[in-house]
Parts: sequence; C-alpha cells; structure tokens
Amino acid sequence: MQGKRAGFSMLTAIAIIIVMSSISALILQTGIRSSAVTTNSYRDRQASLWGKSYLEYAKIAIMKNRMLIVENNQTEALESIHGHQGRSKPHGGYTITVQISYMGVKRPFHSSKTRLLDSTNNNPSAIIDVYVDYSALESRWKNPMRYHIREVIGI
Amino acid sequence: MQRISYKLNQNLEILLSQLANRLEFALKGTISVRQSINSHAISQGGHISIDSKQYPIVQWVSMDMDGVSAMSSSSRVPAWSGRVETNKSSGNRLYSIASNLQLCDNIISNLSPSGRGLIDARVYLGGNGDGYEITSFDSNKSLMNLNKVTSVNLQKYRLAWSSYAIALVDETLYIYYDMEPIARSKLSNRRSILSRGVSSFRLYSRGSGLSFEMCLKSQVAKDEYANLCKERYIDAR
Repeated sequence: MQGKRAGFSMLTAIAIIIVMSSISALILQTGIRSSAVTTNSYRDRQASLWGKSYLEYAKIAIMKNRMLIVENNQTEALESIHGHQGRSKPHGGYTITVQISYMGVKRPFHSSKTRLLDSTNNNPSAIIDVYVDYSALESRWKNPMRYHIREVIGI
Repeated sequence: MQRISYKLNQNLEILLSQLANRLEFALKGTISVRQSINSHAISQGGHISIDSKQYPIVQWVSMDMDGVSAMSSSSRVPAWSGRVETNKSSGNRLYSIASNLQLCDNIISNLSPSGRGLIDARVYLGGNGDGYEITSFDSNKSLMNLNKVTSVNLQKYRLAWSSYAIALVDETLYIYYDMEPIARSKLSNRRSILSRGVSSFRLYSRGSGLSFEMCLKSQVAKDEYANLCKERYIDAR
C-alpha cells in the first residue's frame, strides 16, 4: 500500500513539474517578445536620429564643398556620403547613405551632370536624401528596414 | 497578467507610432481643440497643454510630407520643395524651386478619398493662420497662383491638403481625415477607429517639439483593469 502511494505522489510531482515549467516557459516567451517590441521601437528612433545627424552633416559638407569650388577651383561636386554606425553589419548597426542632387545651379556645379536636375532656376538649391538601413535586432539583417528623410536647401 | 501587459505594450507602441507620424507634420499654430464633436474649435497658442479630460478632440493642419519625399522613377525632383524662387516670384505668383507640381496633384488625388487635388490644397507662408488658396497652377513652370496674397516675398512655404483630428469618445479613439486644410475646419464624416480602450491622452509643448502621452486599459477580471501609459516626444518639423 505504502509503495503504491509513493508511486502516485511521484506521478503527481512529475505532472506538477510539467505544468509549472510550461507556465514559466510561456511567461519567459512573453517577456522576450515584450522586450523585443521595446528594442525595435528604440532602433526605429535611433535610425531617425542618425538620419537627422547625417542630414545636418551633409548641409555643412555641401557648404564646404561649395567654398572649395569657388575658392580653390575644385570641380568635383559632392554627390554622396556613406557611413556605418554601431555594430558591424551582420550583427546590427545602421548603414547610412546620403544622396545629393542640385537644382538651378549654373557653373561650377555643372561638373556633376548626373546630379544636376535642372539649370533653369536662378536660386541654387540642393536636394539631400538620407537613407538609414537597419533591421529589427532579433532577426539580424533578415528583416530590413529603411528610414528616409529629405530636405531641400538653398546653397 | 504578463500576456495582458505584453498586449497593452505592443498596442500602445503601434498607436503612438501612428500618431507621432501624423503629429510630426502638424503646422505650427494650427492646433485647435473641441469639447465635443459639435462644439466650436478653440485655437491653441504657441504653448500647448491639452488634456483629453477637458478637450477630447484635437485637430491640426498637416503638411503634405508624401509630396516632399516623393520622386518619380526618372527624376529625384520632389512633388513640392517648400522653397520659393524669390527672383521670379512676385505678387500672387509663387514659383517653386525643384518641384513637380503635376506629381503633387496626382499624389493628392490618389490619397484623398473625396478626390481633392492641388487646387484644393493651401500654401502656408510664414505665420499666416489660414494659408492661401491656390487658384491655378502650371506644372511646366513650377508656378502656383495664390488667392488674396499681396506679395510672395518669403523664401520658404508649406503645402497642406488635409487637416486631421483625433477624438476620444467613450474610450474609443477615432481619427478624422480628408478635411479642409485650414485651422478649426469642420470635422468631416470620414473617420476610422484607431484604438479601443483608450482611457486618456495628453499633448503638451516640450522644448521645441511636442510630447504625447496616452493611456490604454484592458480588462483583467470583472471590474478590474490593467492600465498602461506611454509618452512619445515628437520633433517639430
């Protein structure tokens, strides 16, 4: 009788352990998912901040480029800026590409034929496109995301 | 409880992102509030402090950012650039640098359920509260003729074709869209549900931008609710 009861208690114990471990696994999974939502939202925000930083950097770089063209007769107009921030590519990070086009600019910006969109306007201006490529952290680079910001400035 | 907290967190995150994406492009000085759907809209000044308990409806004129970031397959020229060609523009004629106004007209008519076009949009110059009507446009010349403007002498402009409003009615948050692009415009009959179970929201000025706080609740048991609040900072554009 005693042996039978001990065996029954063991079965109950195993059943309880299985139920408890399933519940803990579920809680852990929900916790992981919940933190992934927060991390992804942080990464979206970080990407937009990198985008805005590179936009400001591009504005300064365009001004410096223009000064070099006027003063030193440099002919190459600035067309793109490339950068990578954070961890190296397979592990996350943010790849930033800045594309610059020019409008209504006569010489010396004429050197950039592919990026000179229109030369009929009298007020020189530049279109700056900033692209930030990143991915959700949990899926590495399998789930690519892109943030785009554009500004038109007078130069 | 864990599951409820996860769901609240996720839903709130999505809701805040949707609203932040719209509020980011609110034109300065066009934010107004209402006490109910049928009451008059009250303009908010430079400093904003709105609580849904007092004013459950907030509306604003939104700059058309789809046009600014758009480009055709053959050219990087945006639909409208926001920059005035000062050498040519005079009187009520606004020549826009680097703009494809035909593309702008197409984008607006594709997005607007009531079939608006560039003619129905308004141009905001400086601090003008209601913007200026566009009487006609010439895409080839990037020219817009404005109504009642004495002289276009500013370097920058903003283009808007719709106002938006959010309304908290019986814990359901609605968004009104496709409305006239002027401050305090009449609410349209086009609205969609953004979320249910919204207990309150707050919108207030912080630094140069806005802060948006929203609380979402979910039923745990009979007469018992879990409540989660989150705040998002929105940069001014």
